[in-house]
Amino acid sequence: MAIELKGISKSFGQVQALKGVSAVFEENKIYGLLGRNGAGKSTLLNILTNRVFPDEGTVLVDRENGMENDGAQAKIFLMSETTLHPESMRVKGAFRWAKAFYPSFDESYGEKLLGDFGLNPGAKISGLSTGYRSIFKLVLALCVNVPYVLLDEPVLGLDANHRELFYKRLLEKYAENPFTVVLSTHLIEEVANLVEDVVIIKEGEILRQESRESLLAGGYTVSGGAAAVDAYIQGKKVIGMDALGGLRTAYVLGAPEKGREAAKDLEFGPMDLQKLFIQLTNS
Amino acid sequence: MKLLSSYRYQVHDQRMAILVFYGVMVGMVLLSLLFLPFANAADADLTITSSGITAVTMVFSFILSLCAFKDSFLLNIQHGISRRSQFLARMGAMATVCGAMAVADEIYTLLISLLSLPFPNSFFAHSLYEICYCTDVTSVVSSDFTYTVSTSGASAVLSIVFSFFVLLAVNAFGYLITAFNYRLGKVGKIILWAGWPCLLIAGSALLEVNPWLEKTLLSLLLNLCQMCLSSLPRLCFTCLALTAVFSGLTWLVMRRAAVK
Repeated sequence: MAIELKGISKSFGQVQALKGVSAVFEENKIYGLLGRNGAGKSTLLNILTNRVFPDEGTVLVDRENGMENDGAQAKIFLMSETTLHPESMRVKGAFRWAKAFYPSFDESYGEKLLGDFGLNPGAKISGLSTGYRSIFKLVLALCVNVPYVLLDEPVLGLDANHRELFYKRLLEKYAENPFTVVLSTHLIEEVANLVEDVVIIKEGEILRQESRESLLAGGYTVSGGAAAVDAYIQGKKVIGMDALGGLRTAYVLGAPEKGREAAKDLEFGPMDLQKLFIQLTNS
Repeated sequence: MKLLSSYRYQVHDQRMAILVFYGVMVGMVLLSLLFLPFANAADADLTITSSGITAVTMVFSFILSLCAFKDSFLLNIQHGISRRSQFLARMGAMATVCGAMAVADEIYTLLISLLSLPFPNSFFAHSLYEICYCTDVTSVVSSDFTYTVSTSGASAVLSIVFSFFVLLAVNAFGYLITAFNYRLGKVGKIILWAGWPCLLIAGSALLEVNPWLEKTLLSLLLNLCQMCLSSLPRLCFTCLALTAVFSGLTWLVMRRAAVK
């Protein structure tokens, strides 16, 4: 059971947003969909949910054709940056219709979440601030109870407290009843410990799709005095460097060589997802 | 399940506007009732007519359909409804709404007619169908615009049939325009909405300098109207055919509509 994308291409005029993208989102996993601005993340999610049509390629949802298929689309919910609810609709009205379209929508849990986030159910969607619009859509996404929940910039405009609360509720929900979550975000540090698999997209192409562990296992950090670090990294593939006074941290690809003479007085640590992402997508 | 939900949403989306429309219409009658004693004092022969409400409903229905696409389309897409299901639900919703408005029009006409019982010579109303197809032409007096209309139980039913088909065609046309407009880009919108008035002006100028063309076109138009609208069955068939054409075009436009 999975969402499978096969050879998806999409152009907007002269801009080719996606170039033959193939990816798989398996059931009951939390994915991080990472990419720079304009990399094609939102286009990919929009194609998955039939909001835009691909020029080429197919989408399969649990081995069923996902294009223009009510049955397949009933298993997916996309919380996008754009609000597609009518401006005049109220939060409670949106809940009522969500229940009509998704029978498994948990209204009582929704009311509880609204209380937790301090969102008035009687508020008009058009009157909500950017942050509360995000909260409204997040609450919907957490209550629909479908196998695949796609979150495009879920914490846009949310303060730190609300972001923490959202991650907490998401994990609670996931622990209680696992489902597939695809988190598309620029706040990599915040989701680094949340995601199990990482999909990195660059200029419309999938750069990497693998588990976070295996991705991070491909490198490490080495810290210490500038001279010692410089000596150690000679001949190694360094993807980044931080310097603070006389101290230096290098981000190195490959396996650490702790037994070497040059490794004395140096500290080794795991690779940082954000650093790795920046280096992979910088060029 | 999803088709039914989409249908329910699309009917619900238009419900409030329809209630407001008929509320205003009834409100106007109530207002005229309130002012009747004062008006009668000034003019003893004052008559309040409210005939052919369907003509007003047609305009309202057209505007209603112009507002029916975007919000509904986006909300349905948000909830994973395919365009095919949305279109089928729209057909059902359109028939329901037009049917309800056709019945409401007739109820409104009958209510006004009932007011003539307590207020004889003050209120009278006929449906658009009765005015178009039940008018006794021999009794029309052109000087003061009075005419007699035959009203019966059967004509009430036929009025509903008439209104339903007319509203259906108008509604389908409005929905086609709004769906087509949604698909157009900025340049397309400018070309369309600035282009057709220009074409209209150019066309009328062409007719102005070619009287024979004007005469031919007018005669063609009159013959076409005669052929299509001269009886209720003909009108129903024409409206149904127009609805089918407009809806078919709407489907062609809608099936590839994307979220902007």
